[in-house]
Amino acid sequence: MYRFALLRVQNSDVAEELVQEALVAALNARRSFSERSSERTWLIGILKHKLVDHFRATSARQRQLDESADAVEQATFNRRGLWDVRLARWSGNPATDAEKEDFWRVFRECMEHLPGSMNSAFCLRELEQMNSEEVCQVLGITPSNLWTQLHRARMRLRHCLEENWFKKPPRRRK
Amino acid sequence: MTPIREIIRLANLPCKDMSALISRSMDEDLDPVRRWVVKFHLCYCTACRRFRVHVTRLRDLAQDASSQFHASEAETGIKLSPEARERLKRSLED
Repeated sequence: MYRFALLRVQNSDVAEELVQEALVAALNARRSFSERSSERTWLIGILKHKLVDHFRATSARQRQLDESADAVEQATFNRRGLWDVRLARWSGNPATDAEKEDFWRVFRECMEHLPGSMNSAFCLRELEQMNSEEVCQVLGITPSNLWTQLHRARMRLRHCLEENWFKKPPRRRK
Repeated sequence: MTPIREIIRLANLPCKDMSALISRSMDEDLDPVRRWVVKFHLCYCTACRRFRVHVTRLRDLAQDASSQFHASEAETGIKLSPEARERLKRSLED
């Protein structure tokens, strides 16, 4: 449960708090567990609700902070709106277990660098696979705002993964 | 703006705006005109084609990440610290 939460909030204290809230809620609702799913599935379901509540609560504050033009986007395009960077070919998948562990560490670190509102939007849309309407409802934002946040999140993650993984030769990826 | 002028405007969008449209197409069905201008742009723009490959790969990676974090402590190297375990245990006992 902790690992599940940590990937989505990138903060160990917040992840621990959410796990605690989920376990307390599960204890209080244990009589309602009907055994139609495994305990793990049931607990993760409760944790997901707590995560959604967390994103909803933090969204209002984050909205006020992230309205300005995105720095990564500005550095990626020239004044005519053309690409000012060379996009690398992303080839191959991590082969060995050691490489896989390194890759997920890099992925996690890239997620940690996402500003709050971008992280919330990306986690709900891509990790939780909610549709756009559901994400807008949770975060209290318009579809237009959501598309902007998702685009910026993808630009940042793309850039981070490219610089820290795909452009580096395998032995230098740690 | 007349429809024709709007189509011409969309067809001449620079890569900065086109990349945003490509991203948006991953979250909603674009209207036929926007769908067409994106396809047309991708015919000649290698960089935007590569961008589309990258954001599609990002989606796959995110879904892999979501399942990867169901993996064990041994596989991820992530675990609750003993202090955190103790705090959780105490809070549940209360």
